[in-house]
Amino acid sequence: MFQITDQPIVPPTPNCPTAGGFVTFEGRVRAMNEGRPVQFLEYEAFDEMAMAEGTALVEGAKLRFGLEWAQAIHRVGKLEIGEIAVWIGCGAAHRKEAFLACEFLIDELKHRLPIWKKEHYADGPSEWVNLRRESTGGQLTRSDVFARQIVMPEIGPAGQIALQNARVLVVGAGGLACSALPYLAAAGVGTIGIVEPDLLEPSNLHRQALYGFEGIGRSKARLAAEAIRRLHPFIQIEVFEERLCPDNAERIIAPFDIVVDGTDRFDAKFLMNDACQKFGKPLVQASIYRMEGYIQTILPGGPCLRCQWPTEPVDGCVSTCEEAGVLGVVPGLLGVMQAAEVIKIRLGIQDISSHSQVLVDLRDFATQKIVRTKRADCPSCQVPLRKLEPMKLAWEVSTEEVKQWTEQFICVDLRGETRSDSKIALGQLESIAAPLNLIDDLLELQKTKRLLLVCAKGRRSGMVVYRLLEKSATNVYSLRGGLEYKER
Amino acid sequence: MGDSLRAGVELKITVRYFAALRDQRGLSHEILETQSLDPEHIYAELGALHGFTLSASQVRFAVNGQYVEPGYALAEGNELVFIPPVAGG
Repeated sequence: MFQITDQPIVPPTPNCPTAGGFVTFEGRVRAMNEGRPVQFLEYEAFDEMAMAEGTALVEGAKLRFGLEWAQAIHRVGKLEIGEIAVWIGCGAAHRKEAFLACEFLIDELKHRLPIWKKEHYADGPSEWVNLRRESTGGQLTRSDVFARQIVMPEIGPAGQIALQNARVLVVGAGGLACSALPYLAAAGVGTIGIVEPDLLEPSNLHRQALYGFEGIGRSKARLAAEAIRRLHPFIQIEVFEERLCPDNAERIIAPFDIVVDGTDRFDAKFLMNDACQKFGKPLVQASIYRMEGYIQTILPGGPCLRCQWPTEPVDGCVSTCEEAGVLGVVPGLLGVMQAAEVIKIRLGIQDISSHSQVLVDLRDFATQKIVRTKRADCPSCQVPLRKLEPMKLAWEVSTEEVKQWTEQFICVDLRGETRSDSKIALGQLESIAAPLNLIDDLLELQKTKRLLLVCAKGRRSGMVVYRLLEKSATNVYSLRGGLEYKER
Repeated sequence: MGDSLRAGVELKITVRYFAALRDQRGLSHEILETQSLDPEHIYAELGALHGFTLSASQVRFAVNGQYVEPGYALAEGNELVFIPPVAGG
């Protein structure tokens, strides 16, 4: 039998008179991982799939090795150093089968269970590790997955980290969410919350292309989580199988950074508006009607939805998708636009002064921007407008900061040759060109001395540092803006 | 219609319809010559003609790409958009 538990594992005592050899294995949380001190671990399982896989494995091992008794337990949640993360017990008539089966089970469980491990290090940010990846020896890194967008000047390593640290809540898992969710996940948003109480119905499928007919009758929130989890291992998903209402809105919304409105009810839209204003969260809204829709981003401080609608429209005053009908691509398009809006907000590339609502018509692809204005007596958004600050990274340093350094360092010039200007600019004597095996050589070198990577604009050096940090480098920096940067 | 009507004054404006209002009007836009001088009264005038189900207080108005109050004073050549509430998702 197989079990997943969030409680400390108490190793069971097998009661099986036909077995003469018992082998047990305990996987415990160790204090160091790849040379880094671990504070604690978090395990997160995709429950249904993990239960199905785990049960099949244990039953399969019993048949394969002729076991009399077998049990495996996997712990989830937060685990301290020394706690048991996984427990396996195999009993067979003789010891040999029990040893073989126990080893087989731990290898296969690590390999096949959809369980993620987050390591919290004493010396830096935490990391999610997919156990399946780790056990197969695969070295899937964020740089591999997100390379094509990290290379964009608007994103870069700093932007990717901003996305990775983002917590985005998607309320509703209908047509809008079905296209917003996969693009948010694919872009590398680190934590995604999904709020949806409903079960999948056949009439959802024409516009909710994230699902399949085999999911009919199952929880849409869970189906959506399952679908986006397949994209890559660098994602944490929080599922709320409940309807957003005044009793739970603050609890659900408060821990997130940005909220995406994928609902089809006015009461939910106004509830999100008020909670987002209260907690200072941007809210990306969209609504659709047959072949039209609109999208708008409401920033903390307004203008908000109540500025637009001082009298809240009542549900039922206009037709819903059910009554009016809707073309599936309409929420598909608007949902993708919502994902784009979230990414822009997070990267600080949104023009926050415009405050427009964009009306979109799929008949002729006409869009119309309408400027929203703040209402002086609005009860909801009377807080000062907060400006979204661009992200600063600890490993990006300015020339001024470098000049303050007391620790000796080596300047690594990535421009292809060592030129004298890097020495002059930084007052640094030891300067080398990029080594042949860039990442591996620099990883070794930074163990002996601090490295400052420089290039013309600071983009390439930033990306190399990002890759090095992913491989657990600790003493590497990038010159912000590069050698051509002029202080303004 | 009181203040919104001035004898002899007639405006030529473009009216655009969004979502349910487009369906009820059967048009996406039209050019209107009217003696009503603000969005609220033009909406009432058209609503009576075409049987709009939403009252003027349930609809929002935008003029030349900007939300305005129902009593906004329209000028010749303005583009007026009627925006009903939309909730589909």
